[in-house]
Amino acid sequence: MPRPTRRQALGAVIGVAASGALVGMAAASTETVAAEADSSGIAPGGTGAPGSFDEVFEGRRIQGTPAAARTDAHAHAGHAGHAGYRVLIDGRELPVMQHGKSGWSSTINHYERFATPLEAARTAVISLKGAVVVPFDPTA
Amino acid sequence: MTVRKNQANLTAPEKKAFVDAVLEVKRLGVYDEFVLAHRTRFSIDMNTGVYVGHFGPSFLPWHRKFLIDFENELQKIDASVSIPYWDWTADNTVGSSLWAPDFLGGTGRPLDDQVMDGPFAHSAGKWTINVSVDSRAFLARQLAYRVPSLPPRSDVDAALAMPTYDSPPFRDGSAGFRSALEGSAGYMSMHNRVHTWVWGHMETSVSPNDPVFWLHHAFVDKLWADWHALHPTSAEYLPAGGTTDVIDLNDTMPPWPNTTPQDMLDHTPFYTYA
Ligand SMILES: [Cu+2]
Ligand SMILES: [Cu+2]
Repeated sequence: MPRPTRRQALGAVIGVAASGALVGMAAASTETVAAEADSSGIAPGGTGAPGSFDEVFEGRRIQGTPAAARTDAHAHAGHAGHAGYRVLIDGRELPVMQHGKSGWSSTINHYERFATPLEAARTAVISLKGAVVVPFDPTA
Repeated sequence: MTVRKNQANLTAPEKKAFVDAVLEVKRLGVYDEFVLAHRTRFSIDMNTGVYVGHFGPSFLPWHRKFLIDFENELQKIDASVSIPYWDWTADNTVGSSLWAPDFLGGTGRPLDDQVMDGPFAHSAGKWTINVSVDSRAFLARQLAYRVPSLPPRSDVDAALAMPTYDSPPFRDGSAGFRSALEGSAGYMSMHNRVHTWVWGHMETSVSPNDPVFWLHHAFVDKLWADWHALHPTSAEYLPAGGTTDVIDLNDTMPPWPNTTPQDMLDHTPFYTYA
């Protein structure tokens, strides 16, 4: 198998850099924190844009936050695949992606579609049965 | 000449030859390069929004090339080996011989979904998960756990009846055969549903860690060939050209430096299906 070219990998590198700032935020507390949005993970107002969540589900702390706006260098207008949403399970990032209108998936549940990142996070917890998500180099 | 057979028709020696070749490719470290390539493709696709490996028209030629490369590695070990295909519309129970200890092994134990029997059980010593997205070092499965059933033949026939390969916007859920077969047109259907039915590693972006990945995708690939035979006047692949952020017929498919969908339209120089 040939490795990806540098150009192909570039978008992924930038994506990871944008997420790095969030990785440390989970360690502060293991108690349940009130979600900033409603428990469905969908922001009020009916736009469909997911809000934040922070809860303990089956003993695992799961958090989700819309990522900060991307840099212009990464702003491919019209791509649904990198909507800029970060999910953590016990402080470790669970990569998620949005597939336009059909919903969200994650690296743990890559062949399903979820209405919200919260549902993707909960299903990952169910899937892992105590295992932890492990960061990886997305361009390796 | 490579002939891919229905796994249900393999003899015991044929099953053993396939398993032994897979284990040897794993021992050499080559198997994990394929797992890595799959994870990387998913990851880059999700970060760039250019869907090369999945969720777009090149899903089928990308995996056709991926299987050809893997089959070549198996044949370096044993020239008689080919990738069998799993017709999941027919062999659709957890009791199928596919999951027997002399072939792929069975479902995982409830505690952690760990596969406990067969050649790919961690305890057998030859199958450690090295390239992953989580901490499980053992192969994980839980058959029929998340969805109770595999796709019925009627779903396959409905997809095969579609005259168009793919259509704008050439994405998740666009109309046509590719999207219907991939399973993004409905909730947990077709190819996607099979991954989910097996569960464990097959549900993740490192799904090739489960050797059933190859048998599953060989059947998906066969269905693409079957579809073409049913629609000889339909374009075998779309889009033909000029589509932004979509792999067109003559665009190269990363990570390969010079393989296009066009190069993958005719599988018969590489293998045939029995
Ligand atoms: Cu794949
Ligand atoms: Cu697949």
